[in-house]
Amino acid sequence: MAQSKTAGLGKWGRPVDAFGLTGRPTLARFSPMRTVSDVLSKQWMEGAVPVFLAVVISLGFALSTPEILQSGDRDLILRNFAELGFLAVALTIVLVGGGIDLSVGSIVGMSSISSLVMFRAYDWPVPVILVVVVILGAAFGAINGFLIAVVKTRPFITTLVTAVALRAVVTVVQTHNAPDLVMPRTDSIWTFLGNGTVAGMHTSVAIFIPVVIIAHIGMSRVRWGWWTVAVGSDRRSARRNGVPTTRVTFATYVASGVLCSIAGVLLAARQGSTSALTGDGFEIAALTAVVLGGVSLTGGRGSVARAAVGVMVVAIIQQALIRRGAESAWSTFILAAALLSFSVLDLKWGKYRTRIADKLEVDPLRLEPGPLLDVTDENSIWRVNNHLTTAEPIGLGRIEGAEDCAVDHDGNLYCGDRRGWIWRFDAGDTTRGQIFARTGGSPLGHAWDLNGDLLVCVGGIGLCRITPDGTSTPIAVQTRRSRNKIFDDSAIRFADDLDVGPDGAIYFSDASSRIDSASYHVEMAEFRPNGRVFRYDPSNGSVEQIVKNHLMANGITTAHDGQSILIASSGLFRVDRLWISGPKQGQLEPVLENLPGLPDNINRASDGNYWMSFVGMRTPISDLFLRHRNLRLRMTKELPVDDWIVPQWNVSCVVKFTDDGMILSSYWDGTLERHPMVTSMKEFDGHLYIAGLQNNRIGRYKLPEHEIGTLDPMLTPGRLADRGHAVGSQA
Amino acid sequence: MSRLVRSLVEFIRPGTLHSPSIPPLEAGLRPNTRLETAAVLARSERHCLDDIVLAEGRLFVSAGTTVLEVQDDDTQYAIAELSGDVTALAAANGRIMAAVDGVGLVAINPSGGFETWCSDPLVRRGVTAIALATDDAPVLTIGSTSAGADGWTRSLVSDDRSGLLLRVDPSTGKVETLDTGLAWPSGVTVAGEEFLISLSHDHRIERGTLAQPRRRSVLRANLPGYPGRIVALDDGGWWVAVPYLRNRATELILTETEALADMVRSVPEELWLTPTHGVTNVYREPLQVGQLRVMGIVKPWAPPRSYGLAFRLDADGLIVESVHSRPDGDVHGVTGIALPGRSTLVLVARGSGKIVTLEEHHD
Repeated sequence: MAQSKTAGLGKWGRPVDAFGLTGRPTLARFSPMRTVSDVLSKQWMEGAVPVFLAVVISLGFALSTPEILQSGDRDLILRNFAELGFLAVALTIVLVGGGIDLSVGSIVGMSSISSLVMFRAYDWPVPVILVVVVILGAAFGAINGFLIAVVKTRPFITTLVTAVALRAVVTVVQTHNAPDLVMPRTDSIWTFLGNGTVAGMHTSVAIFIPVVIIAHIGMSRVRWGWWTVAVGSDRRSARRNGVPTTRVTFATYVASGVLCSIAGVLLAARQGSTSALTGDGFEIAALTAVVLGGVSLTGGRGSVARAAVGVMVVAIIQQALIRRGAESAWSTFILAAALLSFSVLDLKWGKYRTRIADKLEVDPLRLEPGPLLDVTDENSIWRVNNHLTTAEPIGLGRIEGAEDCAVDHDGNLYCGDRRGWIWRFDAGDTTRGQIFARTGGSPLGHAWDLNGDLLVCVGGIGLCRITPDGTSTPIAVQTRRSRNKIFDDSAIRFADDLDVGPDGAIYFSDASSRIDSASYHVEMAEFRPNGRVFRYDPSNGSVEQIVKNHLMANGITTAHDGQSILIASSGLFRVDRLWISGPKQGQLEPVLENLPGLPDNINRASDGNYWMSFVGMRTPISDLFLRHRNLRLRMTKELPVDDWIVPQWNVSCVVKFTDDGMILSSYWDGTLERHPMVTSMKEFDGHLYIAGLQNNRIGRYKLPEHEIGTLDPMLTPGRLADRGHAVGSQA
Repeated sequence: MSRLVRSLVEFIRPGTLHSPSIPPLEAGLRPNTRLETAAVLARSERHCLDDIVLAEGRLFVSAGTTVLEVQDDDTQYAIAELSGDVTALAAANGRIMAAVDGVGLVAINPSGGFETWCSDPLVRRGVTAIALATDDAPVLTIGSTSAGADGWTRSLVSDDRSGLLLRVDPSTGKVETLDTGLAWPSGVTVAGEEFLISLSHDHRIERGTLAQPRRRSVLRANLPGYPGRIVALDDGGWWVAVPYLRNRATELILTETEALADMVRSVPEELWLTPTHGVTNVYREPLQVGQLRVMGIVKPWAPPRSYGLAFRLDADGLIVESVHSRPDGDVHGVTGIALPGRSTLVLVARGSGKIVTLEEHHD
């Protein structure tokens, strides 16, 4: 019956917004501090500021010298852009790979003179010339590459020396062939290379644009590109991760040589003549271009596309200076000054960007918790007792930090461990325990799937399914990214507790979309609603967000009526009911409010009520810290984590409550010796199994007769008829 | 020093008056478990043991309004029941000088009976320590003229600097004020013309002469704890009780005015984020992340809410020996020290209601 009703749950539409539960005004949703931090943390911010400034400068030049926008000048700028662009791409590849190539200008000169010699003095066919020149360029690059990658000489001095040497060779070749170089010869390909157009663009531009696209994709989306970035960022780490560092470094210089030789040919074809000074000073212009484009001189950071923007900026500046009639020496001076100031900017920006982002990352939310009940009051239902002290320990000293546990049909106990394991203890002899599965994360909530598989929420991974043979498979690790958030919240970082609905859908909580379970203390200082509740649909594997902006969503259980789930909010000390079917579907209703502690897992009890544990109890001082945002902010900045003020985690209890939100009884370990922090409990066969995130055991507490009912708490409500093949039958 | 001067000094040389960092427990203060493992001489459930004094070879302890005699076999006899809390003790020529709240200085006969010796309004409230000068004149410290002797915590959060150093003329009973404006002076000892005074809220111990009591030199500054009573050794050194250790979270909230005022207004005093002598109500006390019980164990280097510490200074003011009970133990809040025999030490741990005894170490 229930199944047919819930079958239509497929489309939830918009998730329920739980921000209102915090009681804070709408304005408090926005955190300018965190927005800045999120923006600064973006990878693209790395080059954004330098590129932005560079574009502003070039716009300034362009607007103050409007002549350069006219068609003749525009053409010159574009040609310059393309020819210098090859060098910039070459330099970007080398710089990202952690080196530097000062011989780019000389290689341009060399390829330029050799192509002219081959063209004019020897009358070689142009295609052959092109192949030979590219091979020559690759060979010059290989010399640099061999010296730097294999012989391990310093890139700066090596390429400086090869640049000087090549320049000398260029002079010699030039002098010897000078008479032959004036020989007239016309060739259609040569003319096309020098002065032709493709689709209205100059040939060099038409060649350059695909080169930029290919190089950009190659550097950012292809293995060799990633290797280059890895080598440039940290050579040692790259090598330890199996990157062939020598080959990668060698290849960057070869690529640089090839690109420079193409530029050389194009230059020779355009000018039709050459001199010993061709390509001289290109290094500084190309270097300025890439640095303006946000390529770091220290290696590992930069992109080809941004370098192309830098080249355009340099081309515009150069043309503007020519237009203003400045001497070419001034042009070099201005480029050098830009190079210097932008490399300083790059250094400081690279250093402080992430630092500022880190500083602004935590932005505590001011909360006004309700009046705090005194659990030590003798007349309170909460009063401290020693019931749990008598619990029989299971796995004492072997378990480390079981947040939750599950008991199968035969009474075998399964529980997590902070080392990522799932333990299994035999029903007959609980001293016999073995590692049942390894999840690789931090196992938190446990529940049985309808087919008898163990479902575990694993912090740092997501939702995992563990089959009876102990194989752990992640089934829900990410969701759709929220559209209006700068922060990428698609990963499920802090899956916390779960339960199965009557239709087989799995409802699970994600305590924070921003941090994982290992840094839970950050959430404890921030108290911002970063949590979510998801619905996993096993029929199509979709992960749908059904509650958003929830503060530390923790315990989840399907209510006895099978039409709603109960959600505990550790941060707001409350439990709410979310209707998953029936007339109120999609509505959130309060069940328990202003609890004296931080509620953790909730599970059904056999008498039609619910068990709930607390990860810790509120204290007057922890409430005070909630009220004072600035105090909490300073705490996160000025104190080591060990000194942070948190709720009283060393004491907690288990309570039983009704569907109407009435607390019926409470169970404590008043000695604090055995169960100081209880994070979960499961009822089975008249016993309560008590787990604690920081404890070294599971406690098996014999419940008094009046607490035991006739229901099976492990069975999903609404599926009672399916008892035959229900929970744990295969385990 | 006025606020203005303080701010100026702090601006010119930060850290001279208020050091933002708490020095670690190292060198002479290196932690050990000697207090934890010390023999327990006596224990009291009442948690109000305070000062201890040796008179006529016998040990007398103040506990609330009572003065008890403690013997080796864990028996305690009340020798005097007074009309107010006994806040300090001193031995004076075979008798015991006691500061009684609301009364003044009372001379108690070890065999029973007492008489009020001085009831000047200045000495009726807030006496924290008494020492007898060579001319039998009691030199006393008043922690605060506004908060009272049990107001250490209130005084700390209100940045109260109303402590006094007084001398009572033995013949006329006239009270002479030696210095004013002190930050909770909590201990004093006199040897000849020279005296030592501990200034609890300033975390320092100073040394001066009775002739010029306002011109003091600093013996130890920026201590990691709040020093308390001082007992002089025969060879020129001293034992200093440290009832509380400094805590970074406390130092933080002390500088956060608005939150501090809220705490004073809305939180019961025993649950404030301030150091205490010992655990009173674990269910409602503040917790710091490092104090979390993991696998059943509280780590000894957890940030302290209460701590047990006393240290020995040599004649040059170097800390040469210390006894500790760390956050995983309970012999916390050392308020009184007595030296009944050569190199034997008796300490009152107010937090646990224990009186323990141990031997001094000499290298």
